[in-house]
Amino acid sequence: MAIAAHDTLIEASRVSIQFTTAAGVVEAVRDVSFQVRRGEKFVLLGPSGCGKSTLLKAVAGFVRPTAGTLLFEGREAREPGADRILIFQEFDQLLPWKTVLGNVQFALRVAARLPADALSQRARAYIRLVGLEGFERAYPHTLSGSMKQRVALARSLALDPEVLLMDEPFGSLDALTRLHMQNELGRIWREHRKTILFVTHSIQEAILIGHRIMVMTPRPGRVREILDNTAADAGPDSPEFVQMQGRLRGLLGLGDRGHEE
Amino acid sequence: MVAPHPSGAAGAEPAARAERLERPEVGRRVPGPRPDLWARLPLGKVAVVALLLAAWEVLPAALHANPLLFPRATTVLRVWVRGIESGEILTYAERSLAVLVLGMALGVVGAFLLAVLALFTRAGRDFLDVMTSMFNPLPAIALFPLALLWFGLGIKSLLFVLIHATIWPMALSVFTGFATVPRTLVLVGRNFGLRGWPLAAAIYFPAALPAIVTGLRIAWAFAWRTLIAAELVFGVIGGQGGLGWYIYLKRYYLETPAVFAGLATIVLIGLLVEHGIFRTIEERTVRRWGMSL
Repeated sequence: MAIAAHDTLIEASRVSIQFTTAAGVVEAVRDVSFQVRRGEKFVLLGPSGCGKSTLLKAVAGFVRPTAGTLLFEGREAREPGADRILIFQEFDQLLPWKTVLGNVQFALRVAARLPADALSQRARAYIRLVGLEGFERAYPHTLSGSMKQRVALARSLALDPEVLLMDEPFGSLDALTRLHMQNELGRIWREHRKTILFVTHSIQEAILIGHRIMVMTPRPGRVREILDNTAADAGPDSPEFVQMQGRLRGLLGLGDRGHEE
Repeated sequence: MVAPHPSGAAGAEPAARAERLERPEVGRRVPGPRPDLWARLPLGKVAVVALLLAAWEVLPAALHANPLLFPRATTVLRVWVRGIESGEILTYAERSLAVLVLGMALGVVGAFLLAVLALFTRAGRDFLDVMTSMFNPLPAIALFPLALLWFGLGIKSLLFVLIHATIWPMALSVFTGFATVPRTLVLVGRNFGLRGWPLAAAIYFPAALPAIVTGLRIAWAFAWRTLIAAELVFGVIGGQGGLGWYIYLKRYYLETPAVFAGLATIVLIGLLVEHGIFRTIEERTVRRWGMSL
């Protein structure tokens, strides 16, 4: 997987994140360091509660690290911005009162401040890109789960952000649809080479998507290891893929024989 | 370019999803005859109304009632039509509605202010909580004597009770609506760089619309009853009465059919507002967007 430039887009150095809740102080992430290069697909893999979503929200600017530095393009990500777009697992991330086209146009109008004619053209192009041509005028509640996630993807890509922050975006889809969407994401990435920071708890998904996979331990989340991954191209039945699966299971403390999901 | 993927293939209702994929609901009505029109007519309800009217027509004679006190349906209808044609009923109705719209508008604006305060401050939330629980069991009309003492016999007193009738239920609805906006939507708005007032206008307000419409509905119902009651009990206000006053006058002159006509007008206006305004708003917004409460 050739990556043209190896410049760093996101740099986390010894990041710790704590929350104060009614039950006391919760430590979500401790001492996490990693770097995401421009144009790569970087996966955060770990069990529920390992703070991977919190890290993602920190990059997005919704959560501030308690300690350490988290740099985006060399600056601290203190505020949310349209250069780092989050895609959620929940299907309710689309504005229900706007059509598919309206949702994409809304993002462009608000975040990119495009004039009206350019707006519509650009929105339609990205709706085509995710394979939803013909559904421009449909309201979100009439769409299936995967179609909603496609709209969210189109809306995010249309903004041409520096990075897509994907928080288990396919987590609520059935297994077949998820596989299809993973392939679709691959296709779209090959067209746009957008940097993707992808959070998942699925080993298979991590291998299918990531150029690099950061394995995290739970409570508080720490870095177990960061692996280079080339098994995606070899295919899920290849020895390479199976070997990678075994390795990740080991790192997650699941043993070699554990079946995923 | 890939074709839309039939994502429901492995889902629970593959047929239903496939159907959706082929014919997306595009939110615009197809021209031509609508096959569901007949099915939508509430024939059962029409029958009930017809039966009631028929009973009303024969009952006074059957009971040997004094027609001066209990007129037949057709008599009332005749008086009502005459009242409409001469413009008398419409004039009274217009006066009622003018006061009502003004009072409701003031109440609604106040309700939004209170809801926003409650949303952002602890004190605002406590205030709203106490006021709504306190005034919930107290009919707004009960404050009318007090209003008369403070503001005298005039529109100010009416507005006072109307604001009181609308502001509390409306504020509670608006607050609930704002407080239950999905967190994801707010994050999406902020992610696009929205904050403050633009965020409220683009995300909070439309997301809270179902609750806002519900609040308006309750506010209208309270305001309408309160106003008619106030007009009935306290007669002429500022020299010009509304529908309540019309009924009061007609009773005074023993024009009983006109009393019935006044009542019928109140019912009709209520139905018109409910179906003509609120249902229409709901169908064009909340229902169309799949956001029903």
